[in-house]
Order: sequence, then C-alpha cells, then structure tokens
Amino acid sequence: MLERIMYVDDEDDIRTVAAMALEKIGGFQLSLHENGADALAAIGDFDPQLILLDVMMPGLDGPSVLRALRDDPAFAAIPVAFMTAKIRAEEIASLMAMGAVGVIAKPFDPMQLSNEVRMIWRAAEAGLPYSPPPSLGGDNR
Amino acid sequence: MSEDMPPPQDHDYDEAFQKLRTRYCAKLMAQIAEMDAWLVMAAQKPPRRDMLLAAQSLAHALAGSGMIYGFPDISKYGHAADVLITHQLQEDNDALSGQDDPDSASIRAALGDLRAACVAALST
Repeated sequence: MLERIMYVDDEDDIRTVAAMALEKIGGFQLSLHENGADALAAIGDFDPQLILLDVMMPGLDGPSVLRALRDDPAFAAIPVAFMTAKIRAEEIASLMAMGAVGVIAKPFDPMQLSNEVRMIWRAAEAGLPYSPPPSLGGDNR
Repeated sequence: MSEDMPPPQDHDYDEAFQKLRTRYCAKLMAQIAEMDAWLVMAAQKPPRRDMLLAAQSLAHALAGSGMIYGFPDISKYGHAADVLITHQLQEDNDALSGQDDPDSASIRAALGDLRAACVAALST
C-alpha cells in the first residue's frame, strides 16, 4: 500500500496545496522539499515509496534528480513521477524515456490529486506507464 | 487510508484551502506590482534577457498555480505568456546571444493579459 511520498517542487503555492491535498484527502505521509538537492539528502531517512518531482526547478531540476536516483543503486528502483505543465505528447514521451513511471499535469485538481497518484502507483506496480488524460488540464497541444 | 476515495466533505480541508487561497490572493497583489514594474521597463526599451527570465519565471508559476486556486484564467494567460517568452528566449539563444531585441510588443501584450486575469481574480 502506498503510504510515503516525497514531493519536490520549488513553487511554494503549489507545494503547499499539493501537500494539503495529499495529506488531508489521501492520508499519505509526505516529505516535502523545495529543491532537488534537499530531496536527495533526505531520501535515505524518509525511504519514500514514490517520488513526485517538478520538472523546472532552479539548481537540480527534476530530470537531474531522476538521473541521480537512477545512478544510485540504493534508490534506483524508487518510482518517480513528474508534475509539469508541459504535457505535449513529445514532452511526456521524453520524461517517460528518462525512466519516470508517470506524468501528472499541472495545474492539477487538488481534490483528485491523491487518486491520480494512486493510479500512477498502481500502474507502476503493474509495470505500466501513466500519463495524464487530456481532461486534466495542462498543455495538450 | 488506502483505496480511491470520494472527495471529502471535510470542513478542515475547506477551511485550510480557504486560508491558502487568501494567502495566494495576497501574493497576487505583489505579483501584479511586479508585472506593472516589468511592463513599465519593457515599454521604455526592449527587455534584456534577465528581464525575460524573470517574466518567464513569474508566468510559469502563475500558469501552474492559478487553476489550482480556482482561477483558470490565470493559468490560461500565464501559460500563454510562458510559452511566448520561452520561445523568445530560445530564439535569443540561437540568434542574438542575449542581445536586446526580442519581440517585446507581443510579450508585453501577453503579460498585460496575465495581469488583467490576476486583477480580475482579486475582484471575485
């Protein structure tokens, strides 16, 4: 069962409401970070079952964090999903090709975020990719 | 808590969300002021690369957050400005190496639209 999620996003307004939704609606335990370096430093202690990464962040961006995880045998198997407004088909394909298990479109619906995270988790458990349905927003061009 | 759950009828959640929304709106006022300053500077001379990066950061943040807080137009116009500025920055990389000559009129218009969406959000 999915319980522990690490969420990394430099945007305070987004991180705060996502955290509230994931905790209050989803009941998840969260480890919140505003940058990739802090997240990598905390990952060993928190032992996340799933990591949600913003793509565009100053310093270590989401793809860089994912590469760092995949290069570390201790963390290489942790499923990672990206959260991004850039969800054109080629952008999603690029993120999935990096090894992400899913992509969540921004802006997201706080009321639905927990269910979407669970769908990603289930898809990852089944070895299937997950990408956002067009109705969930973002740049669908 | 585990399986899919219906959206909660949770007073705590609603109250917490309203507090966040109030905080977001307060921040919008500062962001409107930031856009005003940007627009004034950009009207005087074409924006430098660092100004474009600042505007892109602001537009990107608003694009990702507006709809979450119940303001879809902020996300819509923020996204439009983000895409336009990103395109301009890429063109600068290819052709201008950071020199000053972007298509500032269209960017100013896009930021003007975004500013208007922010103002409208505050009036609701």
